[in-house]
Amino acid sequence: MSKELLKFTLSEAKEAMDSKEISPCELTDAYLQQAEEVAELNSYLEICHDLAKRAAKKSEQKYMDGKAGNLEGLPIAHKDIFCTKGIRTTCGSRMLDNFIPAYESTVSQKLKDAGTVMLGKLNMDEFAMGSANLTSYYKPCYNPWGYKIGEKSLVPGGSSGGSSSAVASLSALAATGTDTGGSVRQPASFCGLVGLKPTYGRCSRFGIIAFASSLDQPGPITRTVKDAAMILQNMAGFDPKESTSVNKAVPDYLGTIDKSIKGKRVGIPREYTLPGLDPEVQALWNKTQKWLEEEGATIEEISLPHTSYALPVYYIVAPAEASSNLARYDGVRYGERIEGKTLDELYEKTRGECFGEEVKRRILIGTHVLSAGAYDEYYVQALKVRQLIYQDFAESFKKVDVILTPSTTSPAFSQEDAPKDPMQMYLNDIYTVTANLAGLPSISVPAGLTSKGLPLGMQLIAPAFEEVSLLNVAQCIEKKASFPNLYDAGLWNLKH
Amino acid sequence: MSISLNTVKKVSKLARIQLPEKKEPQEKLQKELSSILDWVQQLQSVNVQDVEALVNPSQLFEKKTPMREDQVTDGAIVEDILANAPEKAHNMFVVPKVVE
Repeated sequence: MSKELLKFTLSEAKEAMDSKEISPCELTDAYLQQAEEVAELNSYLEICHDLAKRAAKKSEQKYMDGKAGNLEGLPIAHKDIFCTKGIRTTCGSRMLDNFIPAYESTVSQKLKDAGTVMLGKLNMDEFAMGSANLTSYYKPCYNPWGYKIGEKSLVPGGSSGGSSSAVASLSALAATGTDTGGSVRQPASFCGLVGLKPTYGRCSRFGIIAFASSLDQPGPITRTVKDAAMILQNMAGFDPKESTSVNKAVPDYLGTIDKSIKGKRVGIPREYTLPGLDPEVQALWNKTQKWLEEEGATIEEISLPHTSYALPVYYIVAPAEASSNLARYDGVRYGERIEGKTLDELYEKTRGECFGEEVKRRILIGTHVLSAGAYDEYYVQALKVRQLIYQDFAESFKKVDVILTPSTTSPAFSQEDAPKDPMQMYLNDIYTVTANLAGLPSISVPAGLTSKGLPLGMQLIAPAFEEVSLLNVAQCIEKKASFPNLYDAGLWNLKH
Repeated sequence: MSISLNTVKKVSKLARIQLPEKKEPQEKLQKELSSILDWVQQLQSVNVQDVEALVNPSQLFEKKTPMREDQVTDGAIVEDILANAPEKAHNMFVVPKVVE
């Protein structure tokens, strides 16, 4: 029985608990057991057994009392970038190896208030800097799809790699992630999952360890579009503790998700057809356009002329903000410390030894582009081009309702095939960064498998605060794609 | 090379990040940083005349970032604040001697 409990998606599990078909305790136990069984994937940095069991028990009581919350008794896990009160939060870095937050992030608190059971904290690229979960201080984690095709070292994507790895291996019913340049959508795409990056400001960043504050946005990684809508419903909203969170009513994301997409105008940006694009990705992109047409949408070619500048802009803006945000790790107030004879020596040794190579590279780039003499040439110029990238979208959204692109240029790759040159690795984010730069909502939805049997995702981008429209079209793609059910595909079983 | 080894050293000093002592890894870092900076140089060719810098998307979505009343909303949490300190004494963080 216990394995069968894993077959329910988030929304199905909620229904099954509402109808008393299953109980929160047995569901949580099944997930805790599954997390142990797939431990070699290294998705979890910490599994909170006792805490989860206690929370499940509480949920059970709530159901009995008729007081169940929107997400009561649903076992989920958080990327280790969300501060969790009293539970170690490392951000995938040696720097925070011993850090125990004194407060809870707004998003994890809201999800707790909605009744979720937290199973534990998930692996990630160090300070969310990476696209393959290879920069984690706590070792890489793995993609269960790799086990299925006999390629065990397949990466789960990044930076929310633990999140995608856990949800795909059915060791969490859903997970939170954060998306600065694609860190929710790309790992979701690599693992055959739905990954949603809400509009900048839709969800509070309070208590989420900052990487690049003008780009960061938390979002769910789930098995279905409906599950993503359910989680977003309970994550979103204004937070007085976060001044860029937007004070705007949260609409009903589920109510209109099944609506017909007849008459929707879908834009295909011509600049996203890159020379040398994987033919399987291109074919699936074409097929998805056909599906949407069959459902009554119209397909229109659009132009986003500044697309090719998005990555260079991102690799100035993100490191600049990171260099400023990560200045707080000084070995004095919290985190690791390496002793030095003087205060400066203490700072330099602590930061030199406790940050990984990728994090140091980005801090140095950021420090350089913000330094006197380089500031106008690099940083201000990048912010102006960023405005042009936003304007491209604003123009396009006069003509279309959503934009459809691939989520990634290729399926997941193995660790051995991962680019050795940091710059090559950066190119991974080519389709996803634009939405972060412009602050727009975007989703990756599983659309098919490659001939080798690996998942590919399609990405939708909508105007600001149009998550409703995004989820509606995504749901349509999901239906047409009839992507394999993860349970039936046996992703929970690593012994193929 | 966009930046010299001296610039790498200067920037590391500004960022308070100790560089490896050996020349080889220093030069490797110089090469990596240079290739990133060379690549982002392409932005120089974009005409941005009269374009306003986009610092944060909230400037697009909201007329202005909300201000809150200047009120104390927490306090008396000294223990919480010091709980993660590598070294503390007398309710304060301890650092190496700064003033002789």
